[in-house]
Amino acid sequence: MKLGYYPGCALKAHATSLEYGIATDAALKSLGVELSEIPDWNCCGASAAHMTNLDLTRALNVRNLAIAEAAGYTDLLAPCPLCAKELCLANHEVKEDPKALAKAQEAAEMVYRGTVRPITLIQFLYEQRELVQRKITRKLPGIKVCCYYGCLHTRPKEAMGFDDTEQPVTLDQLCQILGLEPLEWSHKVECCGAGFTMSRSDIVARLTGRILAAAQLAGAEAIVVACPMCHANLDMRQGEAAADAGLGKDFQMPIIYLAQALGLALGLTPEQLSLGTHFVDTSAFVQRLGGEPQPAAAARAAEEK
Amino acid sequence: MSRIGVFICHCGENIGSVVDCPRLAATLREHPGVAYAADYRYMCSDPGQSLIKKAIEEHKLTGVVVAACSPRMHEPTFRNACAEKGLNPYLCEMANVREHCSWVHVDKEEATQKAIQLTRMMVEKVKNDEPLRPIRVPITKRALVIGGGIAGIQAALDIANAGHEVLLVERLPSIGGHMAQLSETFPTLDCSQCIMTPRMVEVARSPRIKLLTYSEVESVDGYIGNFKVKIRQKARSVDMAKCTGCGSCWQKCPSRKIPNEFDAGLLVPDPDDPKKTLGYRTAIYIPFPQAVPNKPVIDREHCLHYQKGKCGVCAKVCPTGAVDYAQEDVVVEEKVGSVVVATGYQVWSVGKAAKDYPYIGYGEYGYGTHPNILDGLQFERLLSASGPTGGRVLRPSDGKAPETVVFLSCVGSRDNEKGFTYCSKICCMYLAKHAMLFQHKVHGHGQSFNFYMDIRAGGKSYDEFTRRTIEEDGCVYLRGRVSRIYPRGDKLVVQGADTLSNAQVEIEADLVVLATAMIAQSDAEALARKLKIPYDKDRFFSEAHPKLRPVESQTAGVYLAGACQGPKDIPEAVASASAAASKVCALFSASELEREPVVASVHRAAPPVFSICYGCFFCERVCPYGAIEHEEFRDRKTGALIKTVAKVNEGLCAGCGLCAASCRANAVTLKGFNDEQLFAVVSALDED
Amino acid sequence: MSQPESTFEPRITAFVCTWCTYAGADLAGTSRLKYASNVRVIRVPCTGRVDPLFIIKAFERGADGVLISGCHPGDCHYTAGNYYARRRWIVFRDLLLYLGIEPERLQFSWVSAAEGGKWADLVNDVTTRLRTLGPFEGYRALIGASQGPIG
Repeated sequence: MKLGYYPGCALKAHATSLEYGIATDAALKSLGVELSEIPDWNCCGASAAHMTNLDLTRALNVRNLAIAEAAGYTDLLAPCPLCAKELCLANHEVKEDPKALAKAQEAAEMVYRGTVRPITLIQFLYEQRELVQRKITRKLPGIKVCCYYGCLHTRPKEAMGFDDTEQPVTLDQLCQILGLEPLEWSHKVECCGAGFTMSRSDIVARLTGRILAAAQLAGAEAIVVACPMCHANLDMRQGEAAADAGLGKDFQMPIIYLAQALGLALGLTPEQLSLGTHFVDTSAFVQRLGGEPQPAAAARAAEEK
Repeated sequence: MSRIGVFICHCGENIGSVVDCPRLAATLREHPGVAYAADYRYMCSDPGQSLIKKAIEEHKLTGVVVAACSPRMHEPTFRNACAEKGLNPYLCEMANVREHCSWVHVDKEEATQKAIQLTRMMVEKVKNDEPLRPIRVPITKRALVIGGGIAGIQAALDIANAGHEVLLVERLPSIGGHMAQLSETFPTLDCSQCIMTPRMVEVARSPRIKLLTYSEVESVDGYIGNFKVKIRQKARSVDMAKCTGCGSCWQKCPSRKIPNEFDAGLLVPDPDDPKKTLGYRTAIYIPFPQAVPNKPVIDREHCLHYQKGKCGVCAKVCPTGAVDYAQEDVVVEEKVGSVVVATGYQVWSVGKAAKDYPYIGYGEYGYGTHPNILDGLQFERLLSASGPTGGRVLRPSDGKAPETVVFLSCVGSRDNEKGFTYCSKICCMYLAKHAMLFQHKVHGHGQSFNFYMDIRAGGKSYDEFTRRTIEEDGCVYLRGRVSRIYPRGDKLVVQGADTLSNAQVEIEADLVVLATAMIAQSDAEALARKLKIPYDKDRFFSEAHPKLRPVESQTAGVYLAGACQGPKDIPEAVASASAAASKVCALFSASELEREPVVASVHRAAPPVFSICYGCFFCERVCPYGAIEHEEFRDRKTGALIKTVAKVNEGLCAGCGLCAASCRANAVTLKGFNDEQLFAVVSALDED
Repeated sequence: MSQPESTFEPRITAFVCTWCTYAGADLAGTSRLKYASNVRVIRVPCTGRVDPLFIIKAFERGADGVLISGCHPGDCHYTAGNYYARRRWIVFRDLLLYLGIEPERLQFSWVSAAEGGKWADLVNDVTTRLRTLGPFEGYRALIGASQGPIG
């Protein structure tokens, strides 16, 4: 199976979430899906453009969609939900408004006929869940996890059109197929602070603190995510979050990508899935698999000092 | 020769500021067949009508056209004025130059041109009008009241007290409706059942009220004064004549784990007995102790006898042998002269896909999955002395008494995104009542909060009541909405905003009460179709005029009472029920009903033709009222059949005109809208 | 815009039922909605009353378009009049084509008594469409030659 692939800056180019890119590539390859990166793709505008110039954002994404269309893809996988949301929203807007389409096409200097469907990794894997079921070689041993969807997988509703906005279940069901035990918890779709991680990291510390505390209360051994922004916020600031909440000790909650969990279930090793590069040590999680522990990047850095 | 009078109304500024009325009059004066044309400020006023009457006399008018508002507004006014001067009222027509012209167009020249054409069209119609005489039909002086809640009860009593028979149909086993479920009512804190049960008993005792409970209306045929209704009396499995209401059956019934609908799905662990749950009923049951009639019904879907062929205990213990397992539904046919619809409302469920409604519930409040998040009616049952907990406020999750209770206003109401756009009217008041009663019951060992958007307390003593809740009973009112409710341990975290102090608020609550929207019944649409009455986008039945005719539906003879017409509280429901009853009594005060003569008629001629109808009876097939009959023409000497032709039954004909449009021989005409008239109207457009 | 491209204003005859669409049009009026002034409403008790000949007459006598509007399916005041009206048009369409009248000039719609906005939108839509479609010449020229004055 060949799938159009839009990695975005997080997974490729700037590779701010390089581990997500590595894990996605490896896991999908193992699943038998050939990821075909579309040529000459441009930024989706999720960082600066979408807040400052809507026409520009639309044009940026219509260009990406037009490239995918020209390359012959009907589905375009965008594992980063921020990118996916920009692509889906632009797609939705130009379908509703021919004037917006005309303007975007003019700026992009390409024609787009509306035949491409951008999707997130969760949606893709959910639609292919029978394939996933067939291909897994090792069921993950019932590790208790909290599935965190973040703000974007199901919202805005008109653009994403997938699962329930307040109580989604698809990531939970996928985790179940992989052998994990998804828990009922209260913060599935609560905001982590997203881009405020740069300008107001205190807000991110507070919000991620609540999410981590809720997961801990539910009894989770790890949190499963499918978004590089969610991962960054939940993984990088656990110390600050714990301090903000006035807790005596750190959370030490491993944050695992869906792609990594999938890879492990398909028989790949933790190294192949970049599980050793997180801020929060994932060795406890890996040990539960019955495999060897991986020192976390931070622990390694501490050793070197 | 036509001598038509044209009267143009300025309607103050409404028409006059857009349409050039003097010019309209002048132009129509030149129109062939118009003998007199005038314009006046308010044609519907007394002097205006006098103008018409004078002109009829002086100019010997043969027809009248009034160019003014919609005929739906004043056609009867002007027709009566003509009738007073001896001009047949059906020779008077109206041209709608207000609702269809001056109010909807901006360009004065265009509007005036249009008004000229519209008036000309009606002049041409009047030239082809013929005088018609009203049809008189008898009235059945019996009323049907559908729904036995407070509105239905009030309407039934008022009509019965005026001396007429009433048929009261209620689909539940007892009358009482939602009011019977309430604990105390605002603003007096009267015990709801205490004020209502005397009325319920009065209904049962009234010799003029025939009470059919556990029954539903199947079909309604006919027209005002002459309705034929079919009512299905569902099988109770209890012989009402033999049953004394002693209660032996439900006391012995072994099926004791059925959630009681009367308690709105509320189930609470018994704090005194950990193994018991409160809020269940038996399979043979009466819905509540004060039920009228106070006789049980068997819920066949949960009864062991019907489901598994076992048990039979109730039949054994019944001292009068009233249990009848073989009882079947009975469909009865009744004749009534008018119908009062008092079917009430339901409370919106915040479950994921609310039953029968396309609106999805509130995911941010848990989709109704958490036991300690209740809706208003459930909290009412919790507070009620006749409720599952006997009036103790306890948490459905563990039976413990809650210390912190949070109330949320406007859940589903005033919401364009995922609920209903309207305000449900009663929630601000009942939440204040709930908070007040909670604070009273916990005697200072509890704190209530109310997240509100606005406080709507417009009735008598209403505002004082809400102020008491805040100032005397200590409920903390927070102006803001709640964005999320989630469980943390055995508490519920309520995350909201207090916009007046510009702060985010997080409250750990033991119990949350959502004031969910007051919505139309699930089968409102189906009932509306049976009665042929219109309904609005929220499935509340439409009144004939929102300001001036709030208790009449758009179908003559069918009246609306209570919340089925729109959200309202008890005093308003009672008022509308009495108003509907007065309309029924007015109808019954005449000996005969005059029907509009806009009916069809089949061509008749002298022998040997008799009629150009050749008896294909296509009209009979299309007539929705079964108003076409067969008439035979026989040879006077031999009695041999010459031909069978169609005949219209004027009593049944509703004047739709389907027969006229379908007749291949052009033998059927619709009086008041016949072919000549309509062709004349269409042809009048050619002039410019 | 330098000058209007064309001054053609279509004339539209509308047959509407008393109980639903006429009331809806009244509501548009009481709500003071504004719409194109090209339509002339003819009230009938039910759209089931509308004879195909009325429509042909309307075209013959100056209409560029005809609109028939009644109650929503299932809500007809007379139970089923609107269904019969609708079915009649499906058969009538062929006759219209035969007569040289483009079927796009005839529109059927449902407007309830509560839909004032829908009536206003409908009139505007039909007017805009007919402006594009242009005036109805059809066989009017032929008939016009033999037509006397209205008296």
